[in-house]
Amino acid sequence: MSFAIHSTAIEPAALRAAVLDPAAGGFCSFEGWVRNHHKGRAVERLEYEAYAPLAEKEGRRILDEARERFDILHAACIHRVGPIQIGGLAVVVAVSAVHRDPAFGACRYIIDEVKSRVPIWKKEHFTDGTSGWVRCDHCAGE
Amino acid sequence: MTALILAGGRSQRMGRDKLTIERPDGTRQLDHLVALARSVAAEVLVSTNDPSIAPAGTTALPDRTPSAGPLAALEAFHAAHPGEPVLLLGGDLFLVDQPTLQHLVDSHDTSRPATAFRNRIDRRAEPLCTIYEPAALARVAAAIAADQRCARRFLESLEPALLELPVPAALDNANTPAELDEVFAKLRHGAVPKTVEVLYFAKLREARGSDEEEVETLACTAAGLYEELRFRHRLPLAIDALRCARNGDFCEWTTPLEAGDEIVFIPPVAGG
Repeated sequence: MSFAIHSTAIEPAALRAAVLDPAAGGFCSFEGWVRNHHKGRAVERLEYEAYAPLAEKEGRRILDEARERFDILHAACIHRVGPIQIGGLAVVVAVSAVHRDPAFGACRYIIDEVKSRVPIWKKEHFTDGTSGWVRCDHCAGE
Repeated sequence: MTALILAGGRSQRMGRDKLTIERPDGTRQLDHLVALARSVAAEVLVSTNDPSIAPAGTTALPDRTPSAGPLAALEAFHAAHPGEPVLLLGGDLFLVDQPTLQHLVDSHDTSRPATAFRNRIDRRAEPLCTIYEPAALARVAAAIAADQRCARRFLESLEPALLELPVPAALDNANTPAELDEVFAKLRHGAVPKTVEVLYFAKLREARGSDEEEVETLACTAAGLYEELRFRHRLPLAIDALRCARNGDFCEWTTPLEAGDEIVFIPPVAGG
């Protein structure tokens, strides 16, 4: 397992298992959760979609970059698509390393790059019945 | 016939004056348009408030009303040449050619207020490669006074005679650097129809009402394809907000398209 797009619930234990290594002295993970508010507005649920072939390709590049930049042993990431209710897991990153510093650094690098580069989109459905695509609804050309 | 070339625009989205852009063959856009216009018109005027830019043998025609765009040029022409028709030419027409102008001049219907071409995509009248008869020009000042600034709506109000373009891409214009890459690619390689597969995601999918379509296009580049589709389907995102992908990986907007390509326009991403 390296980078994958799933349409079903993410199992964090599976990611943890995927980076286990007898040489590892540290494990770091990040979970992105669906929260019930955004910029002061009450959110009912989120809906994600991805251009899966390119998302997985770009995600694997990000994991490769993390292995080059940080002294880590293993890294994995799963992003979910489809509707996700409040409290659900949208994304999980898992990293193992000999020491904790590169594990933290790589984990942070991976989630930041995934959010900014991987073709995944997020639609917020608010409790007032409105909805909008995050980062798209105020783009030039509107 | 007198031709009037629009050279007074601010070219804001292009970031530089469109009329001074050097074409692939090395000629300046304004000189190219003047030479084309001369092939069908005895006199060539250049609509500008800066007489120094009018090439030799042409006459500068300053606007009478500031910031009124192409209609101000028509107004100034009518004041200077009452009773005469004019062939109006946009400065951003990098693909207009002699056969297109010849067809317009040969086919123009003096019994109608104007003769124009249909846009190849939305079939509406194109206002900036058009012959306006004196009857139309007499209505320009009133339109400007009524705060009319849109040349296309003015032209449509005239109920012009409409012609099919003999060269379909001839009126594809260029207002941005990406559109300039596209028209230059068409100049170099020709505007050859090809069929590609387009996938839509997120906001674009909803705006298009479909996640996939087969598209026949004259575009040479990914940017040209997006502009065609944006125009055809009124897509809500400007090209500079997007990235593009070809056959499963990111590509540059200037990437040449080939028949059978799978193209994806990528709205701003928001994973996590």
